[in-house]
Amino acid sequence: MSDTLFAIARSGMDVERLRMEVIAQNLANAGAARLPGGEGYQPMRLVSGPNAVSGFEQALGDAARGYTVHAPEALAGTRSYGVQATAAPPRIVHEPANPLADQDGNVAYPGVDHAGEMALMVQTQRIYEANVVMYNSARSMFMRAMDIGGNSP
Amino acid sequence: MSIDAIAALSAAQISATAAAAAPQAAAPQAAGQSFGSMLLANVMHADASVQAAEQAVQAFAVDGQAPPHQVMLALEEARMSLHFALQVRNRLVEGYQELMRMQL
Repeated sequence: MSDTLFAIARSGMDVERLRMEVIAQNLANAGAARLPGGEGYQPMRLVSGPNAVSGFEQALGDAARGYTVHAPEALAGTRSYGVQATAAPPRIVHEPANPLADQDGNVAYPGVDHAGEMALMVQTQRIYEANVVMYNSARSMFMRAMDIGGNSP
Repeated sequence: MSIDAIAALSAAQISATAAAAAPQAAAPQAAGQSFGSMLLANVMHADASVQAAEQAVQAFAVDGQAPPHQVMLALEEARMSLHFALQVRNRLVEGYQELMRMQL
């Protein structure tokens, strides 16, 4: 269905699922110590934003939907721009017994902010649920529209 | 409400409709070329969405890599398209039956 409501809810679900995958990646690598002199894991963040459409495309879509006033934000849902590494510094732990320790006995772990990741996980889950509710609401509107003029004498 | 659309139907078209056995198949033909092609395009769209849902379910069953919400959205989309096509067909058949009940 090319309906805008369904497309918007769908884009929201796609993006939040991707965000959850990035959080899972961060948490899975939280305990991966960095090899001495090697590249370690850097915590990632999903960068997402409104699905921007060009001015002409937006004007065309507005006209097609019968909007006389220009919509402030293009009704095209959201999208992910990509995954970006954060600038979090590595967490240095003094573990002389660890085989990955350097000369000073320090081991570098990725600077994953556990509390922040958990909070973001809950937030992502809630947004995903809200999108599902949005989709169901749009679906019940669509089904209601099917009832127009039904069983008319 | 105007009945120009009904008045525009020629007598030949109406008799052709009456001669046809299946009202479901005859109603779109009698409604004129542009409306018929529009209807056909929407039926094709419904069919395409059903096929897309089938493919999504197959992909999910084979490797299970597809996100579940995409499978469910494809299924719901197919259901809604089919429901919409069914409702349009119901309205068309109702209109046809209304015409057939008309006292001439």
